Amino acid sequence: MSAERARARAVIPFSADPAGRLMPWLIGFMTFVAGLALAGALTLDTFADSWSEGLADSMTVQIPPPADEMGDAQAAEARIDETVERALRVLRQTDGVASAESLPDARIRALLEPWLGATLDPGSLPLPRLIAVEIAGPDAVDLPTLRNRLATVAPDARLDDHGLWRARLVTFLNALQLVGLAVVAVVVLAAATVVVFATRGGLLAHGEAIELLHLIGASDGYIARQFQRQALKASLKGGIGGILVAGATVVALGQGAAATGADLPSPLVLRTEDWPYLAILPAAMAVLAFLAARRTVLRSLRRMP
Amino acid sequence: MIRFENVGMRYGAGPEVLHDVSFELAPGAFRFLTGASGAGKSSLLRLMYLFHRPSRGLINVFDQDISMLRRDDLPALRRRIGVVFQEFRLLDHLSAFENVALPLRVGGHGEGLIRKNVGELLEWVGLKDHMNARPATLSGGQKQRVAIARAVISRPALLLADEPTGNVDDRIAMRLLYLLEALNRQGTTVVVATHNQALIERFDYPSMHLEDGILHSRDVPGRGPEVSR
Ligand SMILES: Nc1ncnc2c1ncn2[C@@H]1O[C@H](COP(=O)(O)OP(=O)(O)O)[C@@H](O)[C@H]1O
Ligand SMILES: [Mg+2]
Repeated sequence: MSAERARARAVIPFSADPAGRLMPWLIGFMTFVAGLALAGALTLDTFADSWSEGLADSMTVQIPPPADEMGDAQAAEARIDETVERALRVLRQTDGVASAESLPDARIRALLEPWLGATLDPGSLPLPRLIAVEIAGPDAVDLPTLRNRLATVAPDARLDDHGLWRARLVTFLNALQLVGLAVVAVVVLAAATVVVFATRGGLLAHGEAIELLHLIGASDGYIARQFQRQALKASLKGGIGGILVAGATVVALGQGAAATGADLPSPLVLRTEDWPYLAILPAAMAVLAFLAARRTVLRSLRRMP
Repeated sequence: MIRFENVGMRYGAGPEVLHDVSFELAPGAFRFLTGASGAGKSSLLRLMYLFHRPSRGLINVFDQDISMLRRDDLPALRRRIGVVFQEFRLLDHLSAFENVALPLRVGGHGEGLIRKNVGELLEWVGLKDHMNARPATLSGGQKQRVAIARAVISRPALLLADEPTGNVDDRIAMRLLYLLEALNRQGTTVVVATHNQALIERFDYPSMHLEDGILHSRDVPGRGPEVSR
């Protein structure tokens, strides 16, 4: 059946009312927004995993500069070098530690540069020494024992297993994810509301046609079918368009992130197994629009005499 | 087929426009419904095609007390009643063909049957060449024939026509009456509201006369088996 014929056949002239014509665009825009929010929520999953893995595989030992900096600088340097060496030895002898490297001064200054500026005089600020520790895997190291042993060789050393960081990061990312999913839910509900209002508008605009249909023996179900078919078509049209644009946006953002060469996993690179969730979105929108239109028509008509 | 007993009707909180209307139509009857403009003809027909409920009295349609009907019962009953509305009420965005096909579509009939029956009927009412025309491009008489074709396409047991001869010339009005007569001979009960005195005399069927909402029947002896009061 040609489109022309189908249009000629539509019992209720939906294509004539502005609200009806606007519906695919509204649903399209909402699917786009929901699609981006859903993609964000899904990638945060990947993001949280890879970040917390990265943090779990490493620890940092911080050895503060000696307190008596007023004394002989050279001697103080030597003392701290010695402490670092002792700590490194302990670390390297510990089961589960893959490697332990002292970060050179230059590296520490490079890390601090964004905050303190490049003109920093190396001697003017007492810098702590940092030891980067790679461990074989999460829980590979007996932390309390390691802490005790470090305390004997380097009493001021602080061992940071990033646990607190990790916990905070995961909490934060989970919260973000919830926000993303909440956005999806709100947008989907808003889309359903749009359908309800468009349907009510349609019932008013086409009141005469509906009355005639009733008079020639149409059931409420028949009239509801006209509206639900229209809502299904409009929302599929808009939903598919919206999700395609959202998908393209996700791909473009992912490539943009890759191009900047950041080490961090980009929050907008979707795993292959995440894409089906995006594809479900327009289908879910369409089903919801269908049901919302049907319910609206049946409820409104039941109130008629 | 239809029985009214002391039926009164009002629009909303307005005055009563029909008072104590009582009559009975047997299956196969043909009746004119006459009366001046504003006498209540359209209102009486609206009660018969189940568009309005009476404010008092008893109405039986197809042996069913309509006060007992639930909303879900109405479509099936309405499909047995064909109506030619005073203002035709064609859907402007649909072709003549689709307008006539509407009752069959609503009744869930197949495309093949629709093509065949609607085509034949449009040919019969002389609109074969205007099947794809929109109502806006049709003359008053042509629109009226589309409206009649739509009213009879699903072979209703009861046909109600509200001033179908109102805005056509006598020749077309005559042809229209022959058409309704032919349907009546096939068993359809017909009620025609009109104030065309020439037609009433020419066709010589019993008539029900409304005056200020009060019904007076005028039977012609020897015409049909129906009883009326
Ligand atoms: N929809 C309506 N609402 C209120 N009053 C109406 C309505 N339709 C008709 N009436 C009134 O009912 C009375 C009978 O009208 P109607 O049945 O249309 O008469 P007829 O068809 O014989 O001209 C008139 O007084 C008219 O004003
Ligand atoms: Mg009238």
